[in-house]
Amino acid sequence: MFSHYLRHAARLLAKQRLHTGINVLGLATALGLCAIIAVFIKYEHSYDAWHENLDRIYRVDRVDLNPDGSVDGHSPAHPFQLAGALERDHPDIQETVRFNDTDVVFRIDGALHQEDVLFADASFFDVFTYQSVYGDLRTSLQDPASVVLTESAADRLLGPGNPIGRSLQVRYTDSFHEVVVTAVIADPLPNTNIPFEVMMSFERLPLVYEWVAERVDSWRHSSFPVYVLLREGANLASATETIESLRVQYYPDMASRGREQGWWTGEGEPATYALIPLSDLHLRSDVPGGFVATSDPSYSWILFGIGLLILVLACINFTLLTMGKSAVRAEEIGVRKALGAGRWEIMTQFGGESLLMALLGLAGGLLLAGLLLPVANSITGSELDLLGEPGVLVVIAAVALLSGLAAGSYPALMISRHRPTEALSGRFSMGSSSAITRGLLITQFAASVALIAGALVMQAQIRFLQEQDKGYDPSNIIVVSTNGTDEFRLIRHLRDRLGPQPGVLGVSGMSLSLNRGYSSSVWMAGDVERRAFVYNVAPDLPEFLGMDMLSGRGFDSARATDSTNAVIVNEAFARDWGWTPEEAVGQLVAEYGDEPEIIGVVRDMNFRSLHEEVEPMMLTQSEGWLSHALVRASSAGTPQVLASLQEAWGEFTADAPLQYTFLDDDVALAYEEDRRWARIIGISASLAILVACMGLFGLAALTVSRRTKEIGIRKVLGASVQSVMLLVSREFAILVVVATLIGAPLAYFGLGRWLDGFAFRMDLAPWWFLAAGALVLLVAMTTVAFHSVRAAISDPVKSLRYE
Amino acid sequence: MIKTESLSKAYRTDEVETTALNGVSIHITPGEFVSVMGPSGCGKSTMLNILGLLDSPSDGSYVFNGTEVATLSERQRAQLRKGNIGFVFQSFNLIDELTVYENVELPLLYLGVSATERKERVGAALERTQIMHRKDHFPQQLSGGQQQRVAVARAVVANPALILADEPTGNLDSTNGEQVMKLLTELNEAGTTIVMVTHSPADAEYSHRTIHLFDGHVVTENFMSKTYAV
Ligand SMILES: Nc1ncnc2c1ncn2[C@@H]1O[C@H](COP(=O)(O)OP(=O)(O)OP(=O)(O)O)[C@@H](O)[C@H]1O
Ligand SMILES: [Mg+2]
Repeated sequence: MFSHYLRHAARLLAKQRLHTGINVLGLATALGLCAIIAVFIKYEHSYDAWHENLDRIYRVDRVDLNPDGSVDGHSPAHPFQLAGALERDHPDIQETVRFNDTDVVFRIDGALHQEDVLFADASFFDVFTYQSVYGDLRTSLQDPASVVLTESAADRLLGPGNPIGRSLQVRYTDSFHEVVVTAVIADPLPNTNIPFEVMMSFERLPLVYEWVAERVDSWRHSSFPVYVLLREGANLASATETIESLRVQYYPDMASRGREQGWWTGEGEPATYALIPLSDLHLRSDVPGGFVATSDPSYSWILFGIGLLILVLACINFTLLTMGKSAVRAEEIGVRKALGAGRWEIMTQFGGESLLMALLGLAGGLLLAGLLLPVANSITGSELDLLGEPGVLVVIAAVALLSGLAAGSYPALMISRHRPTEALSGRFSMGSSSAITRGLLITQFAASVALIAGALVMQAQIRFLQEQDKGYDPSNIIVVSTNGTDEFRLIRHLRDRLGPQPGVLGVSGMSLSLNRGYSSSVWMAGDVERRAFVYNVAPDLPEFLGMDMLSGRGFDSARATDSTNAVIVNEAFARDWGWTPEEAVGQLVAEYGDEPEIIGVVRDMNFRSLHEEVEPMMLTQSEGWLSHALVRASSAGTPQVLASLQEAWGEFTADAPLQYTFLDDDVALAYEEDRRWARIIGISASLAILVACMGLFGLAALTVSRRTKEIGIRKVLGASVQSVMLLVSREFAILVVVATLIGAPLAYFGLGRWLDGFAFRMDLAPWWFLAAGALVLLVAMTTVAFHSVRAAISDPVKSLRYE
Repeated sequence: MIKTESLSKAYRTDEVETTALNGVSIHITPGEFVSVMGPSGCGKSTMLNILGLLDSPSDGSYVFNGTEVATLSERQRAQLRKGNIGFVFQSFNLIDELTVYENVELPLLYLGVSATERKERVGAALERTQIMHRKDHFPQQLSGGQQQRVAVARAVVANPALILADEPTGNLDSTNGEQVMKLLTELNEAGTTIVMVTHSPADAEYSHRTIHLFDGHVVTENFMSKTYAV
């Protein structure tokens, strides 16, 4: 029996190529996408999952509280001494690991390499699980002059082979020191909160970095993340209680002093400690990331929803087309019943056909997923691996079979229900006119409209952000990292070398490129907490970036005090202190350093992401470092300027490689995540409408074939080509319009919520939704037109005879 | 074998009610070859469908092989139908995606007959209808006459006691029609009861008697000159 059904089904599928093609392709698209999404979600949920102690590893966060006790924010950075104190005072803490990550320049065989180095305590390999390729991990970080590499970093820097014992030159400020390779680990999985390729001993930090040495004894400067390993059997609640009480022990008079000075009005402490499970860290959007950004789990679920939606669309196609096709098979069903088939046999047969189709879809889907995985990886910035996830594959296979059953069961039920005589006489039809068909079609189109509106609006919002007047001009600015070299000498050198060149519009310098790290200061002025982002800049930076000076003046190199005790602030700063831009000029910044004088106020510039309001900002000249030279090129001259920059750098130093970015790109980094999601939604929307249109294509084919005779008669009676096309398309057009009315409001609410996450948001004009509806209508009509035109221009006699 | 009493069938659509059969009482004994004639729309196919347990009557009684079947459910009728009744249709109604062999095999599959026995019986049926040489062809590759012979083979393969044929020669030329009629006659002679709807008086000649229907009524029953054993 089984082989009979299989043979029959295989021949049938081969015969009904269009029908089979649409169903299989639709299912394959949906299942392929679902497979990728499933792997992605699994990836997102298994950050650091391989550590044997995962359930006992926590990050220590300082939680700043509001007076009412609610959480103001988390900070994972701590004083140098905290880890030791916790190990001593907290009975549940077995081990602690401190971290710091810094760019370090290595000299290997004369060549310079800049590497992002993670410094960690020697306990790192006791707490976290890694596979050693060479060397003993437990002792690998004990010597402060040791370095541990991942296998790929070792290959890249030192070539193949066992590198244990090799010494590398590391540059600290101006001199090179020697470190020795003590271990090589197998490349860890990419989904980790603590990624590193090169690890060095934390103990080395205070020995070589002055800023660390200065802070070794300070409980006021917080710079180092601390992870802890709780003892086996320790209870999180009591461990948390203990660490909260330790906070009071380490900072005994914070609350009372705050109340005394008036900046703290709360009952409890202004800050406490919390233990964040490492296993949760990646998807905790309410806390700062580990050494990589956390991700918002809601995006995972939105993606999951989209995958499901497209799967539903494909299943709807499946159901609709199977029902449409069943009219053609009425006779067969009648015969089978007359020959002894019961309802159950017919249902089994049709169910089996659906399953077969689902299996084909599954095969296609996995193939598609394999092909699309590299694309998905480049968009999501992850390293997904399909074959490494047998669990996901099993789930997808189950989903495929379930969809086959779900989509095939309704038609099977309907088809098998008919009496044999009805079937034999072809008197039943389950055509596109039934309410269920219409409902399903409307669902498909509504989903398409909503997704397309989403994609359009997301793109538009990102364009809106980028086109916002930022208050400065970031175009064609090359940001050159000083890479630890003498910054003033570098800027002078670049001015001398590049300044006179025709393509160069200016050279300047600042401490941080935009969006590549922040430096913000918080201090008490009287009884008010003040906060400002601080950029240390070259004197000409305001003009160089094209900032608008609202009042006062820029830095003047001729005035000695300008380089020691003068600042330029933005409007937001003045507003925060209750001044107009004019009033602000001449004021002193109370209780900040040596109380610098405000010499000018610039118009608010969006120096951070437009997700946020512009915050108070201070430009100073006195805070020591610049760390980035800026070169503005004319738009045509950029390539030549880059070439001369390379040359000039070579003349300047042989101790560090040239590293640069474009300010434009740095600014765009703030919208990276948004742009990524806009792309993902855009692609999903395209896939959704593709699947919906494939179904529409098949349905239109069925409609036209069913109405061939009617169309023939109408044409014999004098109907025009247009009127015949209208006849076929009208019904679908009405459905799209209804779908727009349903899908648009849904999209409106969803997008409204998304836009609320931006401080600067575009208005949601109704025409976005009309445009989405129009687009769907256009695509739908084009799809239907293929068939309606064929029907309309075909020879009426032929269509009559055919019937 | 077949005994109906005031059998009626009415089709109800939204507005109109069509009475297809109106108080039909007939009696067919085992081994008979009966033809049913009458103008188009008089209810011949309707009657045949009810006799074949494909449909249920609206009213009246129908005793098939000693069982009252008028009130049976679709499922019970299907059960009774299996293996007891064979059908031959005007438009052959072979399944396009199945070969000749597979089409004929189908009733046995639904009966759950074992593979070896299936092979034997399908072979025998194909031999009997002289279509064995085409067993691996698909229906579209056969002529109308050949297709109807396959349909007859399919109708007899399960050895049913009753074969119902609705205008079996309606789509055939006279030579092919004759061939099919000869086949049916042979089957009848071998003991199978046959009820056949036809428009052709020539075909009706092959049968023992003819039931004339008009507007859902039995009008006359003509006995052929040939005699038959009860
Ligand atoms: N499913 C149905 N629904 C409504 N009316 C039906 C249905 N089937 C048959 N009829 C009606 O019942 C009557 C008898 O139909 P039937 O098919 O039995 O006629 P027939 O004698 O076989 O005609 P023909 O010689 O043309 O095949 C006709 O008036 C027909 O319109
Ligand atoms: Mg008829």
